[in-house]
Amino acid sequence: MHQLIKDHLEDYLRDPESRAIPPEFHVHLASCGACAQEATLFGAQSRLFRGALQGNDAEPAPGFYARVLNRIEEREDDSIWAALLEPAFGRRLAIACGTLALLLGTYLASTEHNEHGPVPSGIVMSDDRTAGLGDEAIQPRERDAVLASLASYRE
Amino acid sequence: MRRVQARDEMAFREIVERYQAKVFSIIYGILRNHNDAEDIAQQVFSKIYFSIKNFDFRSSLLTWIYKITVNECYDYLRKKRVRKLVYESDFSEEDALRMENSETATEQGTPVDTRLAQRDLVVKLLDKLSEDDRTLLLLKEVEGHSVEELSQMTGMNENTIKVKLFRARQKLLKVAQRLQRGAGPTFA
Repeated sequence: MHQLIKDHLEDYLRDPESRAIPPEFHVHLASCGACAQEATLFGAQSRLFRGALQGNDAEPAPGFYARVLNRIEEREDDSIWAALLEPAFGRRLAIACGTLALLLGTYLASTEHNEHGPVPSGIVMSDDRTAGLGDEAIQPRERDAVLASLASYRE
Repeated sequence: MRRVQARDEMAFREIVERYQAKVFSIIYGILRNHNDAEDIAQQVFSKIYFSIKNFDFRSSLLTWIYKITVNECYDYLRKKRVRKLVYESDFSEEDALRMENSETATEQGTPVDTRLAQRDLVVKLLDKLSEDDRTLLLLKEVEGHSVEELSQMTGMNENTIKVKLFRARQKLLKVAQRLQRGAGPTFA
């Protein structure tokens, strides 16, 4: 479609006889088949829209404002629960609860551990030496003990 | 407006009373069912109440309300898939009554079944446009606003409006031609 037609198309669709449309518009439309065809289609489209969607001055029944207020109150009540059930908020709530439980658990474990008092370092060291050793490590000590008891027996 | 944004109930009541007929008429124009129109009109005003704090005065209040109203209609249509079922279970009571009264009944010179088919087509076509273009086209065609008025209402300049309308019309023509290839005549 040519620019001249595009520029005045809306005026033309509103009222083809409008004075806002310059005479050269109609001259062009009469000579350009493509523009004329497209303008005809746009005209049909425009009439279709106007005819199909007219509201016929329909009005709501009396008491509409009160019903709107009821709807608003219902939505306000729902919104509190909706906020709790909303996925993003729910996820954040779950993470916060999990973090809190972890912190509480850590705190309880640390206070319980402290209640037994400090462990003597000697015990810790002996524990450290035996901790994690297998049968191979224990066996030489047992062998020494057996040899010592046999020697004392002979004496 | 500022009073409504500050949750002044009297100011909100003024807005409801001033625009309820307009909102109802827009919805009824699209859905042709009084019960649905009532339900969606309530929904529109409750949405206005909750989101009016976001209204930024860039467009007129009417344009903003118009857009919310049309969007609510399309949300409703999508949910209920009325477009596919318009001749079946969601056939409106008013439409059914008119059809019962006379098979050849005419209103404004157009047979009822033809008008129903036209409305169905228009609703389908408008669904293919963006929210902004749809609102603009409806304000132009159904409400009869001029480009100059639309410019004042939306805050866009006249050329932008002309370009947007032209593109929307072209898009609708293409969609209609596609539908025509699949079914029957459209704008003929």
